[in-house]
Amino acid sequence: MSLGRVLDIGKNALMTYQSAMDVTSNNIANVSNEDYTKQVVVLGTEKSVGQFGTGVNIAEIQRVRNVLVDKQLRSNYAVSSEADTRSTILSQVETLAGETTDSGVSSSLTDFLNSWDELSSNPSSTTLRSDVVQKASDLSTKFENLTQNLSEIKSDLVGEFSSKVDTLNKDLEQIKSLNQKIYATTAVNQSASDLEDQRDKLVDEVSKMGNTNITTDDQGNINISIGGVFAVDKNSAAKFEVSQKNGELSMVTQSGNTQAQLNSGELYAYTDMYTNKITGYLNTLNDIGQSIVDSVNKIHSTGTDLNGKTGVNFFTGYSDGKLEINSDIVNDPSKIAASADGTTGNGDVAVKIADLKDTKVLDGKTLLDNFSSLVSEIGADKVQSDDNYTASSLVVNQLKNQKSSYSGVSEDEELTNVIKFQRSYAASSKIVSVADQMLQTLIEMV
Amino acid sequence: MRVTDNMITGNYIANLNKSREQSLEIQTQLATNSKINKPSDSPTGIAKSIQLSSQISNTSMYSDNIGNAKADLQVTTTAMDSIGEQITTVLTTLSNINNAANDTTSQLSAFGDTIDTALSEIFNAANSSNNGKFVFSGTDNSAKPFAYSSDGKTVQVNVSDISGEQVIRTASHIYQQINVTGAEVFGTNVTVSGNVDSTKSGAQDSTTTVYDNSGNKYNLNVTYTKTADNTYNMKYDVVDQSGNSVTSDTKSVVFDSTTGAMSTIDGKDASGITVNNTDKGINFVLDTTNVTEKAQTSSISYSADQQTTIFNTLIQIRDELKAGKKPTQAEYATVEAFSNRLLTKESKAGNYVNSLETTDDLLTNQTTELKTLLSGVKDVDQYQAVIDLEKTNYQLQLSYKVASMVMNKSLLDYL
Repeated sequence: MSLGRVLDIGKNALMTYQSAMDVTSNNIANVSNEDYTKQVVVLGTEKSVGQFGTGVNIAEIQRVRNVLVDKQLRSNYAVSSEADTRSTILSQVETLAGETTDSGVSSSLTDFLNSWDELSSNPSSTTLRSDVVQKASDLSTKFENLTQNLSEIKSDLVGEFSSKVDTLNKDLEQIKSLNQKIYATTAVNQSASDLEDQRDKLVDEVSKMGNTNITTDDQGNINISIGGVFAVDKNSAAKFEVSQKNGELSMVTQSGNTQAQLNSGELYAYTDMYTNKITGYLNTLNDIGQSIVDSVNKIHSTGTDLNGKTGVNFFTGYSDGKLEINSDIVNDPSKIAASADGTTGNGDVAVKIADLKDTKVLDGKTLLDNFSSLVSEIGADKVQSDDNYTASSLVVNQLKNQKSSYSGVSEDEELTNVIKFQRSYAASSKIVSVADQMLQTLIEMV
Repeated sequence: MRVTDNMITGNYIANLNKSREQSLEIQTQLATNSKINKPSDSPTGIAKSIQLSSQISNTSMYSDNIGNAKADLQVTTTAMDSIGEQITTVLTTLSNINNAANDTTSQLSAFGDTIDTALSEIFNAANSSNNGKFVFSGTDNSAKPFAYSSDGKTVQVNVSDISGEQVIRTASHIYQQINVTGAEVFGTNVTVSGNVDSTKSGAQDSTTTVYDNSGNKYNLNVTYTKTADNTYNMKYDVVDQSGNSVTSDTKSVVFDSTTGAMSTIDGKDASGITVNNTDKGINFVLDTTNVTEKAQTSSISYSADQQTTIFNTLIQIRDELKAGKKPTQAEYATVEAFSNRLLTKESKAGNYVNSLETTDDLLTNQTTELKTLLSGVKDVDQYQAVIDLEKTNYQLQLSYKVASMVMNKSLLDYL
């Protein structure tokens, strides 16, 4: 074996450890990057010549990834982000209900019905009649505010859903593009680790959106379907659109023919909250509002006002959360028909209207019971979403830890590698130096 | 297990957020003194809280109504006291008139002046009002209940009806009358006594004579028809001299199966029935509460103090005295009967006040209990909350300290 061979082995070793340091420095640079996948230098031995080895080389730069953990994590991302989105929307809804103070709909409803009780104690009192109108107006305002705010949240959901669908479309387009770039890079035996990291990050984002099916084909391309509908592969990416039909919010393909059957994820949270939950709250609220109008009118129309006239409705209607008070009564509270027998001091009709406090007028419950059940239902839905989020977050965090344990960068580990590769590099350079001295000695011999 | 730096920071941040969330929640509870600051803090608690707050509001309103009713009844009682004093004066005057030494024309005329003063006081007291309500006008507050006729010779009922009973709610499904009607105090009463025959299945009739405000005669027919054990349909019918029915109604009457006493009329405690026809000037209370059920032949008798009202009796006495004529024994009896009735009705007003006061006391206790219950649902145990806050803050500080000591260390520090 010639001394030149020793020099070659030294040179290869120097180049190998320099490359190893490159990989390590890249790892260290990404120590805080959660989406980065640790790369590991796998050293190999050069082919032997005869009895003698020919040194070291980099056999492979591995991207350390655990496919099973990735799959579990993506499946739990959908559950966690759905619960998180529901919690966020429901915290807006429950803030609106405002029933923890004395300024909510329930206290206004109680005040309104109590004002009839007060009127019954002095039915000819103009002050008490005006008070009834004032309390009715206050109830109407509270009801309208709550209904309109809920409707606003509902229409905001369409905007947010639309924005999420746009983001999804962009992500799918980028995944398609990355599929193509990764294929082209790996086809010429180049490392596509960074591109794969970018693609994995996007796939994670897409998996949060809905119930996805993510597969990797033989060529390393990632194929995704969402809600049973094709989303992306190497050759094409779907464009989804928002659809609002028959009060239902959904995501459909651009042609509009196919609807994604979402059953989990962020997008599902939006569609379900829009189509079922908030619509349900609004329906209950409207039922209560309509019941107030109908039940008060039914009794009031049998009464007689201070002018001896009968048959007037107290409310002229209910629409969009507004309890419309008869303008004649607003302008002249003497037209409130509190009397049952036509005398001005009779308050039997007022008493009957006040009795609505204890009358089961809707779904076998009183008006207040219906409203408190609604508030309780909103609270229970929020608690359920919070609990789901807490539980799924724990799972996601554990899986993230597992992923990080497998794929993440450890500063200690990398610094150990730095020392190791530095030592190896120093030793290799010593070989070159010694070989040089040996050559010098040989030359001086001549 | 490999432990990476991201795992350490991720776990640290997650736990730190949890501690800070707890700290924020306790701080909010302490600041608002409420465990429930949004429905999700306690979905069942918020429903209870809404119900309890509503009940507190209701009891407060019932209490306010009772306060107003008591004020009305206070005015009623004061007016009745005043009327009672004047009636006593009238009765004393009438006794003095019977003294042989006081029967000169001038003396009788002077007594007439006394009666006139008393009449005026009674008239004013009968028109007493509180907060826009005339206390003896029943439920018709459109005008003063009593006024002189255009010729000034008689006092008439000035509104459509003075027999209206004003009722308020004093609790859920509990109602209470809060007025003594003008008809009860100043109107006329037809009292029925005797018994109905429990063995008889057909109609059991009885008749008496009643009068309208103008003194026209009518027949009052009362018929009991058994419909079930201890239960009868009682029909009253006021018929004019031509045989035409002026006003009639049928009530369901139930007698006590043991004592035979009348227990309910139309499902309510037995009390006088107001018979009213404004057009005909007929207005009296038909008091059948003394009628009993017995297994013996029906025997119904009537007692009516219906010939004239107290006002017109006093006007008549005054005018007679001014004319030098002594009042009749019947007129004296009418005043005395009115005096007795006034005492009864004053006692009734007192009973209403007592009942309202008892209810008010109950409501006050109820409000206290409801507030206690609401406090249990909503209010924060402040001592516990402060301790919890301290604990959370301590955990936070410890967490910061550990993080500052450990998290910035790595192999790099020792190279």
